[in-house]
Formats: sequence, structure tokens, C-alpha cells
Amino acid sequence: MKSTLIALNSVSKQYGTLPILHKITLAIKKGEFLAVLGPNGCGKTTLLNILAGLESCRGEIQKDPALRARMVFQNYQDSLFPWKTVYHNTLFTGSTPHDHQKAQSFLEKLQLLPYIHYYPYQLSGGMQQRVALARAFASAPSLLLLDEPFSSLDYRTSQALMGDLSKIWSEEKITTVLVTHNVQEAILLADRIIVFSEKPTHIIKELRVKLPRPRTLKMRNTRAFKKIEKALTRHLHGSVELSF
Amino acid sequence: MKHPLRTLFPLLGVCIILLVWHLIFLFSDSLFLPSPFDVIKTLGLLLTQEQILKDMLATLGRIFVSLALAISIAIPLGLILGMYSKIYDLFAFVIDFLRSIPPPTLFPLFMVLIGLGNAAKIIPTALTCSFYLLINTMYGVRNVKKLRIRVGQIWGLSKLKMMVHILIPEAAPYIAAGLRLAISISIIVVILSEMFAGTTFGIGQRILYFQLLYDIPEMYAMILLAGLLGYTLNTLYLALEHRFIHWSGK
Repeated sequence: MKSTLIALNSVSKQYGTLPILHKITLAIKKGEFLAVLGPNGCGKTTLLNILAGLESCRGEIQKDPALRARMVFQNYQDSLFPWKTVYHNTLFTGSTPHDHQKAQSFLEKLQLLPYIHYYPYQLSGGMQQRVALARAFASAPSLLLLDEPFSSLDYRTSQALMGDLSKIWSEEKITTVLVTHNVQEAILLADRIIVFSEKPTHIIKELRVKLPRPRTLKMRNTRAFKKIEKALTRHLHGSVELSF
Repeated sequence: MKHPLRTLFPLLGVCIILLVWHLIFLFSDSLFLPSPFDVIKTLGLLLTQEQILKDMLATLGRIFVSLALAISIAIPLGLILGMYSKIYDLFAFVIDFLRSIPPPTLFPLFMVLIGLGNAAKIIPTALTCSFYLLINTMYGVRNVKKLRIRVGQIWGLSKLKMMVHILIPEAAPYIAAGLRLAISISIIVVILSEMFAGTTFGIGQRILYFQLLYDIPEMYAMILLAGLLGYTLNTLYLALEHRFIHWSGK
């Protein structure tokens, strides 16, 4: 049985008097791909910040001593360094031959080798997000935090990048937490999905995705996929009745 | 796409100004307005004189030493003030007050304090330039994109690494803009100080000298030389800025 990389026990967070997370209990196993769904402003990014150790909170957090978190953000433009080339963005502070080898390897896996001498601002949005992913992978994380990494990209680009992410994840098995609004994205990538409520946020649904890997876009038409999608959508909509 | 002739427009602009100047010269009987062509000819002659070359070197030397001093003091201070808002709050009033003092008012003070030597020209210039660099460096650090700081924090960078890998490059376009201003100001203050505090060599001193002798074309030629010097320094600097701070505005 896989051991736990990080566990939150009754973790709460509030900004001033505004409660955000309310008594969240969550254990993330090593090598697991967890997706977090929830409405806007419910504290999904706050959860990532807590997991990355960037924000304090009430409650208990148990971490593997070797935990090494890295994050990929929705805003790839501001998260990359325009003064560094694609290669040096990926390498970032790394300097050892091993760091160079890792950077080279992930640049290749993300089809960035022809662009290593370019600067991020010379690349398209999709390519820039690839660089951000390469940087995160190349620094050998034990916990990869993805904060809506595909939501600023067009449909085609996001599908292609999801495919590459899924492939690399299958090879590396890095524990990953993906925050997203996209139900299909969560089902295609994750082993387990949790759904957050409105504020004060708590977990309203937890669901295991037992679809076989490697997963393909065609799986979206299968009965099993649609069943999971329906269950998640029901919880995401909650009591909100939509009318157009 | 620009028409190829458009590249000649700046030259055309210069020709128009020279023509207007020459027309005014033709219809004026003032002894103090020479023909622009006389001024250009005089400048050519002056540039062959050793004394004028020494003037140029002296002025350039003072400009470079002043800028080097300003850079080595103001940029580190600007980084500290940008990183630590409490220290900035402590000195904000003092900085705002000191930078509001017009530089020429400092000449008498420095003449009394340090005499008439090079230091009396370099220190007021360095001080004036320092404020431009200090403020710009500070704003550069304060305007660092929060997300990049978060990347640095997640990657567990030390303060020094954060400064080297993120803060300084991110603030560089602001620092470069400050330096651009400082170069222009340094030319003004050095030439003014050469006129005010006196010196053997220097463009400012030479302009004043020709004026006192009523060598009017020579005086105009030296003013033109000061303008050319400023333009050349600014153009060279802009080219370097473009080359080395390519991410500015990106």
C-alpha cells in the first residue's frame, strides 16, 4: 500500500473574518494524481498554497520529510522569467550536470528542444506553459501542484498539453494535485477527484476514477466516463438551477 | 512598412533647422548670431585642437566617474529600500526632500566643503544622479511580479538567490530607465559645475571662456559639441539597453 506524502487534518483557513477552508481533512498518497474541483473563489488555490507551505493555517499537516513541492500556474506569462531562455528557465537555479540532464530530458519530452535558445515572450501561450511544466518536472519534485494550467489555453493546445502531461506523469509517477474547473480534464487525468463546496469550503464529494490508463479523449464517450461526469456535475451545480 | 525615404527624414529635419537658422542670420544684424555653416566649420577646426580634446576628455571623465559612483551607491541602496518597506518609510521624507533640492544650489556648498577640484564637480553630479537611480531601483523591486516571487519561494530560494535570479533582472528595466535619466542629468550637472566651480579643462569652462572673449562662433561650436556629446552618449546607451535588457516591457 502506498504511503502518504502529505496529510491535512481538520485544516481551516480564513482571511480576516472571511472563512475560506473549513476543517479540510485530506491525505495524498505518494504517486497519486488528485484533482480538485470547485466553484470560483472557494479556496482551491489556497489549498495549493498550503500544500506548498506558502500559507499558514489552523489544523494539523503531516508531511513526508523529503517533500519537495513545485507549482505550475495558470498565468504562464508572469510565472516564467523573460530574461532567461527556455533552457535556462527550465534549469532555473540548477547547476549540476544532473540538473542539466534533467532539464534536457524534460525539454525533449515536452517537444521544446528546437526552442531552447528562445525567450518565453517569443513563444505562443501553449509553448510557454510547456516551459513552465518542463521547469517544474526538471526540478525533481515529489509533489507537483497544478493551478488551472490549461484554462488560459485554447482547446486544441490544452488537449495536446494534457496528453503530454498524462504521458510524463505515467512515466514519472510524481504525486500531483490539479486544481481545475473542467470536469472532463479532471476525469481524464486524475486517480481521485474531490469536489469543494462554496465558502466556507469543505469537501462535498470524493470520487475514485477507475478508468484504465493510458486514457484517451475517446473515453469521454464511454458509459463509465459519463457516469463519473454526471456525478461530479451534479455536485458542482449543487442547488443552483440554471436557466438561459 | 516605412518608405525608404522616411529614414532620411531626421537628416531633412536638421537641414530645415539649419536653413531657418541661416535665413535668420541673413536678415539679422546681430553680432551674436553667426551663420550655422560658420559654426560647423569652427567646430571642425576646434576638434583638431589638443585643448578641445582635453576639454572633452575631462568632461567625459567627470561624467563617467559620477555615474560609476552613483551606480555603486544608489543601486544597492535602492534594492534594500525596495525590499524592506520599513527602511523606506524611515527615509522616505529625507529622500524626497533631498531630491527636491536643485543641484546647482549644491555647488557653493561643495566648493566650501571640498574646494574647486574635480570632487566639487563629481560629487554634486553623483548625488543628483543617485536619486534617479535610487528611486527607479526601488520602484523596480517593488513592482516585481508577485507570481515570480512565489515561484522563488516555492523553489526555496535564499534571499541572495532571490535577488540574483528574480529581483535584479525584474527591476533591471526600471534601473535602466533611471540610468538613462541619470546620463542626461549628469551631462547637464557636470557642464554646469564646470562653469560654476571653474576648471582648467572641460566643455562648460570652454563655453564660458569663449563667451568672455566674445569668440561667438567658437562659443556656439562648443554648445553644439555639448549637444553632440549628450546625443552620442544617449544613443549608445539606448543601443546597449536594447541589447542587454531585451525583456523590457515583455
